[in-house]
Amino acid sequence: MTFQDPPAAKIDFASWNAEFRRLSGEGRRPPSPRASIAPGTAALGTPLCFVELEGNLRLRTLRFDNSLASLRLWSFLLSENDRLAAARRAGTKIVGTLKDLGTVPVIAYSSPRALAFYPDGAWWIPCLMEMSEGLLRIADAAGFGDEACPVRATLAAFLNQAHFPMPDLLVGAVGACCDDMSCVMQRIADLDIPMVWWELPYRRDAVTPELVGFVAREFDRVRRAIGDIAGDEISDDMLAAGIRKANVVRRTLSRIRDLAYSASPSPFPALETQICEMMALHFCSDLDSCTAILADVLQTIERRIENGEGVLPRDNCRVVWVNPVADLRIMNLFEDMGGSLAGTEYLFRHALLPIPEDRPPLEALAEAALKDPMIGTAQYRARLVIDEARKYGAEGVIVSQIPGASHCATEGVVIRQEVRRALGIPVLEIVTPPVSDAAIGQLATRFEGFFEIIRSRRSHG
Amino acid sequence: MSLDVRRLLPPGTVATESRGEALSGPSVCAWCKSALGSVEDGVLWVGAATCDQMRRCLEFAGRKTATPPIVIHAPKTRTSEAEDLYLSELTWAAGELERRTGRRLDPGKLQRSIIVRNGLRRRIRDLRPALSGSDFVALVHLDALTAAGPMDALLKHPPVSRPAAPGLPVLVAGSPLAPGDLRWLDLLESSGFRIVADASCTGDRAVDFEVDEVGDPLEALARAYFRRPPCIYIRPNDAFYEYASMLARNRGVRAVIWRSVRGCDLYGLETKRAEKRLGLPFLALDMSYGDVDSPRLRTRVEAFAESLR
Repeated sequence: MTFQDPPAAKIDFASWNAEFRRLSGEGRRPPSPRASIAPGTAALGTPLCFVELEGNLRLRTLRFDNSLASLRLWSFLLSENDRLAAARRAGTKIVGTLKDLGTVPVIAYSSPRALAFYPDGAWWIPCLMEMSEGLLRIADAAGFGDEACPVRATLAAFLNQAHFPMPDLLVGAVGACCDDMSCVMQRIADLDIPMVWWELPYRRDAVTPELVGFVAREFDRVRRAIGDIAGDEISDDMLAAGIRKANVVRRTLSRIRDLAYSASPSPFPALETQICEMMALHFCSDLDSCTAILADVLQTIERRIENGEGVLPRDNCRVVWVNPVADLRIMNLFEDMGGSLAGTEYLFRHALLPIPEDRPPLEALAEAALKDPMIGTAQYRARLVIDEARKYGAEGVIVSQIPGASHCATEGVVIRQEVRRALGIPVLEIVTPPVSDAAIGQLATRFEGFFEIIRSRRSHG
Repeated sequence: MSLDVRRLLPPGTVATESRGEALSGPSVCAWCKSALGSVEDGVLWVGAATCDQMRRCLEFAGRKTATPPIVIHAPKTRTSEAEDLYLSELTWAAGELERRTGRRLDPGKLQRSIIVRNGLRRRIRDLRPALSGSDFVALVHLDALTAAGPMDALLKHPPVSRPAAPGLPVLVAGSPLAPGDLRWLDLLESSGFRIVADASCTGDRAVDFEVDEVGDPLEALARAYFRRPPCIYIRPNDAFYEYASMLARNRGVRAVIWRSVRGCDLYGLETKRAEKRLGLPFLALDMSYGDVDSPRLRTRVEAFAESLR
């Protein structure tokens, strides 16, 4: 099948459906776990999953990138549960990884008989299904009300067992993690799913050899637990191979980020780049397909830059975005009001950095995990934001607070102070609930005001 | 090290909570807000990353005083590796204190201090059955705030305490209690309850352990604090419930009053689970420091007492 991407643009759901009908059956292959997909071939996961809402009502209000690479990305994202179910049927063991964001999945994927996914990702379900699924009500009834982070939807998804297959093993990172997630994990631990807890220590200024040694030993416990349920030991060589494969994804993402956040006009929308970055966490339950899909995105971005194409006006305000948004619509709104991503800090920078390949694999993984921006000081995280702003020439920073998240209670203030001191650029703090329709008006006004400030600074220095 | 050390104990007043909120934000827990609202300039903060908010509060306090805090990791798991990590964290903190203050840690002095503090905790434990709930917590607060010598003198000749009043025996558990919360304990005891067990960080758990008086004193400290009745933040937290249940069983507890300070996830989000695990009539309260003896709260407490008669 040949599908020529139209000129770069953002299109709505109905327009994508119209485009979708032009795709031949060749492009609509059913999911095949771990199948290799050549870049440029349209493999859409579950056929029609993008056209039929399957309860994901939010898609109707979003605007999407119009490339085939974007369609594949969305389809891959939205068909994850199908892949998990297929993997379960094929006898693959499913490892649910909680909190660590990016490292334990590399261990799981090193086994040919296991795959990892993040139940934490269920925090997007209330947004995607526009609350029709009732997860937050279930969480509320379980004692996790609005005072808790939207990640409480994860607990609800475990309680109603309607959104993903129950894992064969849970691996929970505790220690210097947020309080909400720690409480969610404790409740999930009551559900009689085998669970391994590992200690993710607080990192002061630097990653010390002692901490690396400690976490490496913790990962050794995790590796043995995964090996036990998978039925085969995971050797150092298997881990090293797993690291190399993960690094392919990380290198591709690094290139995507560099191009998407530095080019003007912006070649790929904020919403889709956020999804790309999220792929680093657990490869959306299929490492090989993830690698191919990201390669396709990269090719699309490269081609657009070469052609001088973009999805946003060239003069949109260049902004570093801090924290993932629970409501995907906000990334659309940000761009519609005049923003353009010039860097991000989505809580999991460590998952984007290459894992060292020149040392014992458990130590390499430990070193990677200890770069987690959430286990150190807010000042460290502010430095990441500042580096990002410098690297991509940002004109402002938006800190999107996650309502109820313990780290958000004070972090925004520190980031604001540090960014202003180091760069003197404006910082906007917003709060993004899982479905922000009621707040869209005030958020639009605040974005507008923020971009006016940036434009005024352009004019007056 | 002959340093002037005060335990971080937020006053637990509306004024300090408000000041702390102005410095940080509305979502910070009331305990941390009150602590931040009472920060003095020039103080070196030393603390443990127990919960996420506390660790961030320490960083925040350090920013306010322009003196970087000394923060160690408090492990949440209870493995032998985690225990060793805790020891290495304490050792690091001692070295950092030496570096920052120019004083040396004298192991002999530390050992003597351990012996004295063990004695103080024993004395408080002995006094405990005769004390009202608020007087007991006040003693725990004093023990945390006062140098060993004056505390020893105080306990040798304790001020006349109100004896524990008769009432329905209850276990109090939840977020740590600040001095401002003593009025809340008084409210409970004037509403028909007798606080016979306190599983908060400022209750029985604070004195219900001994530090080994022989061997390396720093290691003894680390082992004792790691192994003492744990806070709810450990994962899994079964040992917390086993301790609280043991207290309840041994002291004839008939009901549980579970209280979280506003914004404290670790206790607030645990409420439903705690009710199930403890298996006793249960009153859950989520409070800021403006609520400690409010009429609304009194009504709820009295209604709970009535339901148990």
